[in-house]
Amino acid sequence: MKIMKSRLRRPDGTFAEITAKVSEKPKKTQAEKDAEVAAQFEANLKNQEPKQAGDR
Amino acid sequence: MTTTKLGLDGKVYVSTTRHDDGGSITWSEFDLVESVEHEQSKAEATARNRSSKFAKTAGGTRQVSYTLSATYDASDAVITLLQTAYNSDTVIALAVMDGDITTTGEKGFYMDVEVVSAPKPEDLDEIDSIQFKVVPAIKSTFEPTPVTIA
Repeated sequence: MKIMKSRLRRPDGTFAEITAKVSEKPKKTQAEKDAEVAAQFEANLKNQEPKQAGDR
Repeated sequence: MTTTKLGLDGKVYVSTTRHDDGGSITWSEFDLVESVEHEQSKAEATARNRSSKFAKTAGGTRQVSYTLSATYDASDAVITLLQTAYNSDTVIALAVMDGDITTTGEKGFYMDVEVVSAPKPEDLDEIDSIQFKVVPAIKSTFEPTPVTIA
């Protein structure tokens, strides 16, 4: 979570402090990306396995 | 309780200090704004081939702009700021919020923008108005960012 600070100048000359939150998507590491690809590959292989006769 | 919003509740703020200046931004409210038009869309890259019966699409670059229609007041500081930014090709900071920028939970968009049009029509029997179209500035390194007030 990133925080951005600023302030507002009101018409009467006073100031109000502002804190805004910015949602940041966490970045994936290369190892996490590799693990995702491997898991997807395994899942695809399973889907391609011949069905058992009893499955019908 | 619902959290529906009325256009009247929305607020627009500007600052001559841009986000990528690194300094602290001081916002001024643009309270002469009447309506805010918002363009928010993605370019569509579509693939059609024999692997699927469906055309499939990926979102590309985003197109964002705001058109701020306002009552014209020659002595208003924010109108002057926006006209000066237009005339001098200066980048300014913009915040378009659902509500007051100091209220916790209000959502909006921060961006550094360039004013690309500023027509001021003068109809015989109408109060003068002015429309500022602003777009993300290529001269700024700051990416347009959705924010929530903490």
